[in-house]
Amino acid sequence: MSLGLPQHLAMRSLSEAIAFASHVAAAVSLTIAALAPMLMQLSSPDLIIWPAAAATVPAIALLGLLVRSRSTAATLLFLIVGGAASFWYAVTLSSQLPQLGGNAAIYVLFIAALTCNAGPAKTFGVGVMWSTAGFVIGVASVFLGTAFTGVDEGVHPVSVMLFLFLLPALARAAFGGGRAESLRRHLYGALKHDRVDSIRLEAEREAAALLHDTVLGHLAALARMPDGPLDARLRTAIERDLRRLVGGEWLLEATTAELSIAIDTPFQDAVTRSRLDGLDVALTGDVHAIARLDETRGSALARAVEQCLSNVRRHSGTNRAEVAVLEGEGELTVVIVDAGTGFDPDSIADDRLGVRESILGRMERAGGAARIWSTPGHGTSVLLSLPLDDEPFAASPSATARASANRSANASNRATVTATAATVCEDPA
Amino acid sequence: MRASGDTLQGLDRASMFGAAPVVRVLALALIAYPAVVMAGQATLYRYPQFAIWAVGTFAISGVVLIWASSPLRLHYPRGAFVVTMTLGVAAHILESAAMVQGDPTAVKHASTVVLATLLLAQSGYCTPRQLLVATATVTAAVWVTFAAFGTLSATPPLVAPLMFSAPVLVFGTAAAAFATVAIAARREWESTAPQRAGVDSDELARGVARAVQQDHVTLLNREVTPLFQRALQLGEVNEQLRAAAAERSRLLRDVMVAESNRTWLQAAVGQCGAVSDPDRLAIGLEPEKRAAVRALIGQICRHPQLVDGSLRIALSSGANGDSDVVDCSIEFSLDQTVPLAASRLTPYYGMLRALFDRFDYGTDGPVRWLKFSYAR
Repeated sequence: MSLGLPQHLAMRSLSEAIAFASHVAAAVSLTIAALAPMLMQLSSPDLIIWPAAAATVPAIALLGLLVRSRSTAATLLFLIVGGAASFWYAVTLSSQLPQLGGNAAIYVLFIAALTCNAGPAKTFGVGVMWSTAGFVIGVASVFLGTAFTGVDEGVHPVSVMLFLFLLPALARAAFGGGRAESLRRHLYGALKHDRVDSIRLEAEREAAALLHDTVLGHLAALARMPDGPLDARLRTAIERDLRRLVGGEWLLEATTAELSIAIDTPFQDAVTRSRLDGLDVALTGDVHAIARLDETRGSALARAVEQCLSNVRRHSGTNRAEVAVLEGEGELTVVIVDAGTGFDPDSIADDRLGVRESILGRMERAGGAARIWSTPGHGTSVLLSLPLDDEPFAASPSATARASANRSANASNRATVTATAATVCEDPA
Repeated sequence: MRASGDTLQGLDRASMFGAAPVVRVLALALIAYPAVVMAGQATLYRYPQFAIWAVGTFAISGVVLIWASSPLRLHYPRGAFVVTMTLGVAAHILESAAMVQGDPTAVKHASTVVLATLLLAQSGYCTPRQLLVATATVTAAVWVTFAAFGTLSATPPLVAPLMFSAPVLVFGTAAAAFATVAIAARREWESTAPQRAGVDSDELARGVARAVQQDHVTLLNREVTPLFQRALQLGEVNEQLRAAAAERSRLLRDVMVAESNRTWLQAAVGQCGAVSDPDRLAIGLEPEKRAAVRALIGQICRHPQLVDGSLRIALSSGANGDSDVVDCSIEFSLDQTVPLAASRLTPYYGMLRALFDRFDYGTDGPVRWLKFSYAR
């Protein structure tokens, strides 16, 4: 079940539904108005009642025109010709069957048909005005028709007509206004706020990941450096931060497509940068499959891989890592394995953004997933997976839900290097 | 019969919250109209007690209608449509029995107008097909009743039953037409929703990304850029620079952690109450369900009787041994010294009942509580 129509469309839909229902009511009324004189004619062949049935034909034809084209001209034509037909109908019946009186239910059918014209307008109020005009024309024509033949009793189908007028008003109150209107406005207002908030939260998480990988990392490096000259690589990185993060539209580019920080081939560049930082990275598998990722996913993968390699360099106690690229079943998988000291994933504090946002969160936002297996003393394996470009993009929140499920899986599997990872990569132990 | 995706109620529940009071009015009309008509022509009935029973039967039908159309009910109850229409037909038979062997054209048949009203009143809860089938069945029942009481051949033959079944035919088909168009509009809206969301999100994303980036650039310019520029100018690292870098690092990390930990639920509640969601379970909720919860929270926070700070929302999983199910509980207090306003939260409860599993709500003195679950 969805939230239903927003208010403006609900009112338009209501107007169209009432108009269509009115036209159907008019068509059925005219059909019965035609059938009744025909039955009367069959039972009284000596009377001339069939012209009353014939009078309904032009009215039915013009109603068909009105259904096809809800224009002012079509409505006017229907009311003028329908009024004349109604007069003729009343004259025929009251002249041949004066015992019916002027208040017979049969006359109400024609008046009801003229009332249910719905008019050309899309708005409720104007529709009521056209219905009123149809009612007045219908009553007047029947009154004149019966009076023309000298039938005394006048037409007063007031109760039925009040009912006819009341129904659209009730329908509007029921489906369009009051509580429904208020609820719709609040629901759609909430939906809009939710969309803005979701995008904002995603953007903030992306910004946090980017800043973690750049500014925060460089601040930490500065805070750890001994007295002495500034390291040349750190100087270059700081200059790059200042140029790109403060001057350019880095977040917009990161959330839409290309990322200025990632250079020409983001994945290769990530590996190269890690090698330049002193890590011995063995790259295996079908590296060319990465080209099948779009720019957003390719960039997200590259930055997540770079963060994994950065963690190996800074925390694992080893300077060797293997990156294996595998493709299969519409999915690209990258496994980063080191045989370092390993760690207990449960020991990571909630305020550490490196794993949570730069790896797990980044994969999640790109529609993929990340899993981490590590045991103290037995190395670490990180598995990153993303759907390939021919697969539908799993945007949030489904990606969020999937990543959330993966997080749960991580929690339960954190201490174990699974058989899958061991098969895919060499056992880090 | 149950409300499914093929009914207006199934496709657009919000529309039906306004319908409930109108259905109540129509249900009262089901009782008042035949009572007035029959009282006005009481002398024309041969067996007036049947006419009284007919009014009583319509009254029962009206009560069933009011009961079944409660906005807090998850679905229009199975069989309610059949029961109300059957009661209506029974009332029509009783009304016909009241005038048996009388002149059928000399009296007004209130029952057929009431039957037509029953069809209209339930147009939001039934499929167009059900409405058409009911229209045909009721029309047939009217004709059979005329035949059974020997009035089918009243002069002119067949005209009387045709005229008396006219309200059912006219309003029954109109009700089906109304439901058809209203349902088609909702289906079309649902089918185009993904495309609209994509376009809207792209446009929104650019604007929001710029705003978020500007926030971060402001922070960086204030806290980090001067430090980096100083480091580049100095060309060397010293104790003062290290301390400043460590401090800025902590500050920046705190800001980013706070941003990353925030969920839509915390954003929605804001300063109005407190959210307990240590596992960030709120992020797994679908957008439309989030919107319904947000709308309810908005209403609670705007409620004139809300006791400040009393809103508490807690999310947890695995309470019943199923870690894939998230249980949400919402609690808040209303100031009972303020005169009670109309229950402005009822439509939102009804919406949540339709969207979530195991929805329940209640009161405990001034405390209002509601609970519901959803799959992760």
